[in-house]
Amino acid sequence: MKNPLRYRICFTLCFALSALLFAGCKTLEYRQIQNDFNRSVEADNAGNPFVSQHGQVLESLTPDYIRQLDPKLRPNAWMIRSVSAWRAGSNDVATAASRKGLDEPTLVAGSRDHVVLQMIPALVIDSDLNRRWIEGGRTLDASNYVTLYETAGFVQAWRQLSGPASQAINAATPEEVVDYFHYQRWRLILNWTAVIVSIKANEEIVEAQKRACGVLKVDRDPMFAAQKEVEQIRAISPFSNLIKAHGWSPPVQ
Amino acid sequence: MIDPGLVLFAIESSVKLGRKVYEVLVDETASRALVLPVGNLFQSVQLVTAKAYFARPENAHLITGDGPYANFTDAELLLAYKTLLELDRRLDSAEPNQAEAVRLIADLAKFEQIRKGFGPKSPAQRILGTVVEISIDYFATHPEAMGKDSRARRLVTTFIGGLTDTNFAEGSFAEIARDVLGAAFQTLGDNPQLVADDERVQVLVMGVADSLANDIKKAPTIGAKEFKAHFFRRVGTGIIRGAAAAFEQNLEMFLPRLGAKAGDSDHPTVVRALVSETLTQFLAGIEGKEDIFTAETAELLFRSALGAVGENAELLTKNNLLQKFIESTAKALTDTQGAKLFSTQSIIVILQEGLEVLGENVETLIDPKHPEQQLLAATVSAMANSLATTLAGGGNIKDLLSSRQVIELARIVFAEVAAHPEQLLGDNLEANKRTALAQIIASVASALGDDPTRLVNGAGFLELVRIALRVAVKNADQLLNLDTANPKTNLLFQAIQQAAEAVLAGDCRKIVSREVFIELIDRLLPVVSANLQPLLDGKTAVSATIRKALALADDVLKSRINGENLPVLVEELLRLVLRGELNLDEPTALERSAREILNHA
Repeated sequence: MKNPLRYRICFTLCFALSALLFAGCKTLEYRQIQNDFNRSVEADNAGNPFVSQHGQVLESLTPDYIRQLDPKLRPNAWMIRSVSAWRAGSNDVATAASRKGLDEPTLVAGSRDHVVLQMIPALVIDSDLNRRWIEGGRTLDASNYVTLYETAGFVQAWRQLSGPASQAINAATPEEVVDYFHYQRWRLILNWTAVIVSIKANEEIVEAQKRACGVLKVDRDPMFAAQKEVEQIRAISPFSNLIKAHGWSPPVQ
Repeated sequence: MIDPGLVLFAIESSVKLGRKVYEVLVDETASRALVLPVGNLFQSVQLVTAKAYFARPENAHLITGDGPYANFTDAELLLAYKTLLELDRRLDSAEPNQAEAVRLIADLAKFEQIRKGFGPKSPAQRILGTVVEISIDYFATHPEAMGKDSRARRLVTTFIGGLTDTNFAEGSFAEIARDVLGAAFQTLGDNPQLVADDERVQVLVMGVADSLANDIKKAPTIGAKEFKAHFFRRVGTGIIRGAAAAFEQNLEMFLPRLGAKAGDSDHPTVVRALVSETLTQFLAGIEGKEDIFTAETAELLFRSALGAVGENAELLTKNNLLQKFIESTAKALTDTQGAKLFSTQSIIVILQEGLEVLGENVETLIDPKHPEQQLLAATVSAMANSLATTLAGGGNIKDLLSSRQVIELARIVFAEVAAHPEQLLGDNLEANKRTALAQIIASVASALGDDPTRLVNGAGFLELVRIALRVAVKNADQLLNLDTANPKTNLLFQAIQQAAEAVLAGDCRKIVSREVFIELIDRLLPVVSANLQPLLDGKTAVSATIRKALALADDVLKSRINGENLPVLVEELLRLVLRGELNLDEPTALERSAREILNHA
């Protein structure tokens, strides 16, 4: 008869090592997805149309896959999935992933992932409106603006950024994430204004801008709100340089 | 035998260690640095900024309704925004919100012509661009002029505020604006004390611009347009400075009143039109003679032209009288005879002198029944002809006169003509050699003989002319024979010539200096004029009297007669002789009379 103790020892050892190996391999694999994500974003930021790369990240990072990850990794995975979906133009996927991520019990309050997940709905709205605006020939009439772009569009996006996303930021939030947050708010204001000033009738532009100023809580034009965001970004931040590179200068008094 | 507990402990430790490594791996992965997308901008930041700026409540009037930028494309709006920023920067406005620059732009919208198709290539935009450009050039070299209340800054404001629809209609006005504003910067910018009032500056500068635009517009060919533009570039500072000086000298004139009714003489539009009309007539008057003008001479002449018009606006601008005056006078100064007497430098000054005299004597120099008559032009011609060899003889009186003295002669003559035009010029202006004026001057010049320097210098000749004019104008029909152009038929000539011959022949002691000779003429001409019969009878009473007086001075009355009392002696002796109360051939009577005169001298 075989030695039962030896058998027990071997079995336990194999089981434990297998479990560790499986979990470790999954994590290592996930790290590879993170690498792919970084490469996609770098290409995206460089202005190249690398939507397919974001799509590949999305294909790899399915909800099933995320469920198999260590619970601690899941918020980050949802964040990556939502960001990739945002950039790939899969708006519903992005919003759903954001919601899932925010529901993860292991999400650390004030973390990068937390702030970004809260920003995603606003960023998705912005991208969606951009697509519509381009398809519409970069111009629109006043009624179109009110229906599609204003209340359910930029106002909603601004409220998302001013409310939940802003509230996600706390003392633990890395400074570069705060910079990113304000950069995106600056960008949203610019895009909102770009749409407003593309309304066909100048009289409507004036009115729409007046309403936007009310939402943004500035008096004269939205650029003053944008400037407030710029002032929140650290001078050493790459986002500060990026804004300058776009030709930004404070609004004239 | 292996201790099973020890083996299990080893296994559990391995598993725990593996789990710890795993947890570290997970934590590190979860917090791993990631790159985040920056996202897209819908439009260029500058364009959005520009359009948002124009959509501000306080600027909305620029892009709505009939606002100047209402129909602008995006690119045009961006350009307009940059222009506005630049304008504001140059204006260095004290007001917040670029209010002043915005107001200037909005002012452009007043003009119907620019509402349609108002864009970066429109005349208005070009003019504004030019204004900014020329301002930048000026401020770059005059940084001190960028003060909030500087004259240069106010110049830009008043210039833009003064633009009218006509300016925009004229395609070349942008270039004209450059020249006029450039000249204004150079003259008024550096001299803020000149024409301190902005309203006056506006009518001045814009009046000049209007005229120039009109002048260039009317030029028949591109070459002619270019020539006129080039001329203004050369003398523009002088014209502006001249206008400014005229404004300063005539404080009560060229004073626009903002509350004036349309059509009132002091309405800004009327004052501006007056400046413009004056310059237009001035430019037309000197057409073809532009080469003789410099900035300095243009300044002198335009100042006088404006001064004359300021005093007599309606009369001089009506029927182009100012233009005709300048034209005909300049022609007289530069025609064949004129060119021999008047130097290039003196032409402008004499023209200026003429304008001054005209301005002060319009009532005598312009006959309402014959406004076309150019009396001062006729005066110039008469003057030039009277000193030509044909009338003045071979004495080359002209050589005696410096340019300054020729100008002084013109001044004397202009003043006399302005006071006595009927007597000195009469009705037959065409035959100017037979005018009293020509005959008087020619009589004086020819009577001095072939060597006039023995009797007078240039200044002395001018004095003789002044004396002759004074005397002759009161007795012209007797002293002058206007039936012929020959001055030797004039009693005036004969009287002076006899005096000259007698002095040259009989002054052994050399007591008749040039000064004494002039006094001699001054004293004897009125006596002759009042006692003409002996001269009409062909007697040489003047010559004889002087010779006898000089003989006494060299003989029995040597100790009594000198250069000081000789003119008085001659005057009184001549009076007695011409009246027939003294016979020069009676030595005792002559000596007695002379002693008596000297005792009372």
